[in-house]
Order: sequence, then structure tokens, then C-alpha cells
Amino acid sequence: MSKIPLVLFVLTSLIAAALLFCLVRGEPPAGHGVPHPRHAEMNQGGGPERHTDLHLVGGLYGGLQIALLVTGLCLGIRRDRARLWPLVWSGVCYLVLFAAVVGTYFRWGASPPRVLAFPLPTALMVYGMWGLPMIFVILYVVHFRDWVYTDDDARRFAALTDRSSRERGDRDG
Amino acid sequence: MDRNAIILVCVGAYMLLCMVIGLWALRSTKSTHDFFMAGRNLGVIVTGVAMFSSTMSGFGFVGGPGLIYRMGMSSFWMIITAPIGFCLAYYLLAKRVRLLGELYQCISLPDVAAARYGSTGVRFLVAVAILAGVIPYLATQIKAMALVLQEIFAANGIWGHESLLVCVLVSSAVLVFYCVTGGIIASVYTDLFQGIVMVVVAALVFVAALGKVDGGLAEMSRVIAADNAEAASPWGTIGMVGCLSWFLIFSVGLSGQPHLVTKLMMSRRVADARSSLPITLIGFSMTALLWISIGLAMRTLVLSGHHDDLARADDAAFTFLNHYAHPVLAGLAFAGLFAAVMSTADGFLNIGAAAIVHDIPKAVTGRSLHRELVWARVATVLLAIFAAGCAMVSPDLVGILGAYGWGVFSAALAPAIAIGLNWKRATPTAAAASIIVSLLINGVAFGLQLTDRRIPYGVSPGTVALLASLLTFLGISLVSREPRIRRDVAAVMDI
Repeated sequence: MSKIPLVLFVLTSLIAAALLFCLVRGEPPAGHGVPHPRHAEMNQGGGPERHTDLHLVGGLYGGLQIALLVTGLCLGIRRDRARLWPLVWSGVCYLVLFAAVVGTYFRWGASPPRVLAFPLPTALMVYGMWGLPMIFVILYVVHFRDWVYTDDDARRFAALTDRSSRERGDRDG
Repeated sequence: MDRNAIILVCVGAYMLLCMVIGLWALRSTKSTHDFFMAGRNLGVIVTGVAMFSSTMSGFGFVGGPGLIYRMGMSSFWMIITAPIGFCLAYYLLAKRVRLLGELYQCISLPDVAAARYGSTGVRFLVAVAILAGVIPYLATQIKAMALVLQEIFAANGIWGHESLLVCVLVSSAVLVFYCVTGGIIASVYTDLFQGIVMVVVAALVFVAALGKVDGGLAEMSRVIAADNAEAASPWGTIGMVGCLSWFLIFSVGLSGQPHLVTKLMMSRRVADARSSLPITLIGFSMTALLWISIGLAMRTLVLSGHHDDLARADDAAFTFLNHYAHPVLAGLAFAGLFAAVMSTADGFLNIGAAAIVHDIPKAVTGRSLHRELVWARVATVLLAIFAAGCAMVSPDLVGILGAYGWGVFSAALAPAIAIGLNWKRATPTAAAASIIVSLLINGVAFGLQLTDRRIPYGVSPGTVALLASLLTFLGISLVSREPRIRRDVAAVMDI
């Protein structure tokens, strides 16, 4: 039996536990924003102190989600170790990047250095976390004929549809 | 010609072209297979563009800028999920639904579920989940179209602001016309046209928005951070837990969106998925530039005192286009906005009609309706009328309905379809239980939201439903005995 669904179950359980932990311990003031004092339809976020107790559990909540997503990708390809490693390593890079977003946010608080127009943790999120999953697209495109649908698969499927249509024809008389 | 007239002409020309495409597609729609599956003959570009244009709905073009205006960087987490979310959908589903669809001549997602699980109960529940999500989602799209049209008509002095019913009728009529005449063929080819309009408009608006604030993105980010550092932080104002909850529901949930998964069944060849994934992703990322740039620009302009407060956050896109975009660009952008709404709504009409005339009758009576194509067209009209009625009687529920629709699809269908098609051990009982759990949780959460009770940290109810549904599906399957699967289905799952 493939172990991937079991891993998915464990990861989902841990994500649920992390979320439950956050919900049970209660929301600090401005936990999800407060109305802006001057602009009616805008919110403000209070200060970074609202996240003080969330270093670990918040980081885990996000990190486990990335692990869940990458494990999900592994479920969709031919599963042998050689094929899984590129996905796993790309997933590790994705995790490291997420850890950098969290780490730089907590390291610099309200006055981080600015990179490419944004505060550093925001820049890592916008350019890094938006861009890095392109690796998974490239892997899909490059390895499609090996990981997803081989020439042999196409032949097997053609034989399957032939047999199926013959059987349907026999049944229909 | 004045600004408002240019906008009206652009939107009118756009709608006319959609109707022409509907008439053109009428000639190619001769069976329910054509009406719901486009004869399984879509090329790479059409599939790739239809995928992203169906994803980027009115929510993205109208609600997206509004979210950035209201919450700062928070809603970026809905956008940055797209690459990994689309990857998950393609890795898990593109091959499987295409192969099973061809082998069993499926014309809908419940058909695929029934073939996979060998269960009419699962077929019925998938169809019910689709209807439960389609109606509120469709109502949201129709309402968004009507509100935009109302502004355009009012600006041109055609009707006053009291004419919402007329606007609902006009926008629904165009949508229904091309969906009824050309079915999914009209839908995907209008999606292609709509997707191209959206990409061009988003790129032009992005450039225009950067030009409206001296110093571009850097200055926008500086002004927003000077007002409130958290708003410019990666979590925006909603905070870390809320953002990461969006990350989960929008990434995993994408694999449960039936209007997208169904399009993966329509491609001409299995191998087309290899090329359509990058097209989908590039197209989505390009259109997201409108969401980002208008939202950041309007928040900056208001904070720096260059523009008055907005009456509603959702006015950010209209206000920017009306005040800061060249009239022709504004006209194109409003057409692009309709394109975003319609390209999603037509997919919903199609899968909703399939659930009504094909899946539910087949689950209940064991066979399809007589003269299914005629009934499909009738169901499309009735579904649109019903959704339009919902849009009219629920004036303040647009956002809640939209979020509920996405949550229902994600939680009900992602586990049973995306995981179930890749795991032989998944059982029909687990699939049925996970769909029921997701519908119950989303239903309760919807009721609570109506009474203004929310989950702490701004966590989306869909996230809770998705986690519960995943645990139910995986847990029941893991503790159950391995089910017997039809030989052909097992062979497809081995490929």
C-alpha cells in the first residue's frame, strides 16, 4: 500500500491540531485587524506583538500546509524514489522560503529592511512564494513523459478503450 | 465621445461578441456530449486559457482590489496559492479525469465519480454538492455583473440606480443566450476571448496604476507601511493565522472546483495537460496584476490624501478606472471585468445544468432524461433565473455567498475527487461521508455568518470544512478494507 495517503492523514491531523490550538488559546486584540481610525472602509493590523505567541504554532501551521501540498503532488505521479526526490527537494526549498518569511518577520518586527519595493519578509512572500512553485510546473512539463503519461501508458490506454468499446459493442448486440 | 459613452460602447461590443460566439457554437452543438463536454476536442491554448479565466472571477477583478484596499497585503495569500494550487490540480486530476472520462464517456464530474467509486450514492452527493455551490456562486457573479452595469447605465443617464432588476435581466440574458445556444463550446470559446481581454487589460491597468503614484510600487509600499507597518507586512491586517487559512483553502481547494476539473476532461489529448498548465499559470498571474495594482494604488492614494475615502472597499476598481485610467482603457477594463465574471458564470451554468438534467436523474432513476439536450437548455435558463432571483433577494450577501460557494466545492470535492482518483483504497463510504460532513459544516457556518458570528482570527469556514472533510475521507478509507474496484477503473488508476 502506498504510504502517501497515510502521510496526508498525519499532516492534515497536525494542521487541524495547530489551527485548533490557535483558536482555543484565544485571539489577542487586533488579531485579525481593527477598523482604521480615519478611513471607514480600511483596516489596520495593530502591531507585530499580536503574533508574539504564534512564532512556533503559526510557522508549523503554514509549514505543514506546504508539506501537505507537496505530498499531494507526489500522489499524482509514478511513485518511486528516483522520481519523488526532485519533488521532495523542491518542497524543502519551498519550506525554507516560508521559514524565511516567518523568520524575517519576527526578526525585524515593524522596521525591516526593504528589498525590491517591499519590506524584506513581504518581498520574500511576493516574489519568492509566488514564484518558487514554478519549479513544480517545470518538473511537470519536463518530466511529463516519464512521470505522468509515458508512451507505454498511451498504448495501454488505447488497448483498454479498444477492449471496452468491443465489450460495449458485444453487449449492445 | 465622452468617457462614459466609450465605456458603454466597449461593454456593449463585448457582449455582442459573446452572443456571436454563442451563435457560432450553436452549429457545433448537436448532442449532450457536445453541450457538456465540447466533444472532448479542446486544444491546448483553449483549455489553458479557459482554466485561468474561469478561476479569475468577478471576485478577483472587483473583490480583489477591494480586499487589498481594506486589508493591505493579506489577500496576496489568495494569489500566491495559484501556482501550487494549479499544479496540484494538474498533477492529481488532468490525466485521471481525462482517461476515465474517455473510457466511460462521462459528460460531467459526477459521472467520473460514479465510474470511480461504482456508486450511485456518490454520484448523487457530488451532484448535490455541485448544485449547493453553483447557486450561491452564480448568484454572486450575476449580482457583480448587475452592479457594474448599473453604474455604467447610471453614468450614461440611461436608467437610475433603482434599476438593479433591469441590470440583472440584461446581464443574465447575454450570459444565458450564449450558454443555451452553444453550451460548453460557446462557454470555452468565450472563455478564450474573455481570457485574452483579461490579460491585456490587467497588463495595461498595472502599468497605469504604477504611473499614478510617483515612485511606483516602492512608494505605495512605503505609504502603506508608514500608516500601519502590519498592513505592509506579509500577513497584512488580517494576520498570520487568517492568511495561512486562505493559503490552505485556495491551494487545496482549487482541485475541488468542478467548473475547472470538468474543463480538464475536455482536452483533445491527455498529453495536452503538459502545455496547458504553464498557459493557465501565466494567464492567471498576469490577470492578478490588476487585483494587486489597483488595490495598492487606491489604498495609497486615499492614505496620502490624493483621493477621498471610498464609500465601499469594493468600489476600488470602479473608482480607479473612472478617475485614473484613460477612457479607452477604462472601457476595455470594464469589458474585462464582465469577461472575468462571465467566464466563471458560464462554467457554473454548464455544470449546474448537467447536475439537474443528467446526474441527479441518473442517480435516482438509473437512466438519463429523454431528449437530454433540450432539457439541458431548459435547465440552463431555469438555473440562471433562480440564481438571479437569489441575487436580487440577498442584497448584502454577495461576499458571504461567494466564499460559501468556494468552500463547498473545496471541502466536498477535493478529497473525494482529487485524492480518490489517485488512491485505490479510497472507499465510496469515505467519499460520501466526506461530502456530507463538508456540506453540514459549510451550512452551519453559513448560518452563523448570517447572524454575524465569525471564527476567531478571520479563519474562513471553508478551511475548517476542508480539514474535517479531508480527515473524514482519509480516516475512513484507512480503517476500511480495501474496496473492490472495476477492472477498467483499476487499470486506469494504474496508468
